[in-house]
Amino acid sequence: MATVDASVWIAAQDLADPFCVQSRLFFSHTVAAGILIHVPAFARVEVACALARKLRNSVQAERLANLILKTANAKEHPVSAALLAKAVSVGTTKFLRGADAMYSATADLVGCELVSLDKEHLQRAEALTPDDWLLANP
Amino acid sequence: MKDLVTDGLRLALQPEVTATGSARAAAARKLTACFAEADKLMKSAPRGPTAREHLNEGRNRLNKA
Repeated sequence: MATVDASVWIAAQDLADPFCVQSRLFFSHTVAAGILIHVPAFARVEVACALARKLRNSVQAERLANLILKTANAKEHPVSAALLAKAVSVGTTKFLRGADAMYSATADLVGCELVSLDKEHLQRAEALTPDDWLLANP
Repeated sequence: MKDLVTDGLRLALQPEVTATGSARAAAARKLTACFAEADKLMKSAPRGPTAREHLNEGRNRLNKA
C-alpha cells in the first residue's frame, strides 16, 4: 500500500516532466504487484485540472485522469470528518499546505507511506520519492 | 495424509494464482496503453510549463531534478 500525491500521478502523464520516468516505473511496479494506492478523493480534481491546464483540453484531461487512477488501482477516500480532523492535526504540526496535509493524513489513517514529488512533503512529512519508495519496496 | 492436504491446497490455490497473474498482466498492459495515450495527447499540447509545474504554479517549491 501507498498514498500517492497528485504530483506523481501528473508527472507520470507528462513525458516532458523530469520525474516522468521514475513515476512511470513506480506505477508499473505497483500495478504488477497488485498494490493498492490510496488517495483523498479530491486527488482526481487536482490531477484532472493540472492536466487540463497543460493540454488546454478538458475532455482529454478528464479522460487521462480517470484512466490513470483506475488503471493504477487508486482507492479514493472521501473527505470525511475523520480525514479532515487528521489533516488539521498533521498539517498544523508539520506546517503543510492544506491540500498537502490531506495526502499526509490519508497516509497516516491508512497506515502506509506517502509517495510524493512535493518538496514540503519530502522535507516535512516523511514522504518518499517514487525512486526511494521502489528502493525501499523491491 | 500431509502430502494429500498440501497437494489439495496447492491445486485449490493454483487457479487463483493464475487468475491473479493474468489480471495483473492485463492491468500492466492497460497502464502501458494509458501512458501511450498520454504521450500522444501531450505531443499536441501547447508549449510551456509541464503539467506538474501547473500543479505547483505559484508555490515555488518544486523538487528540482
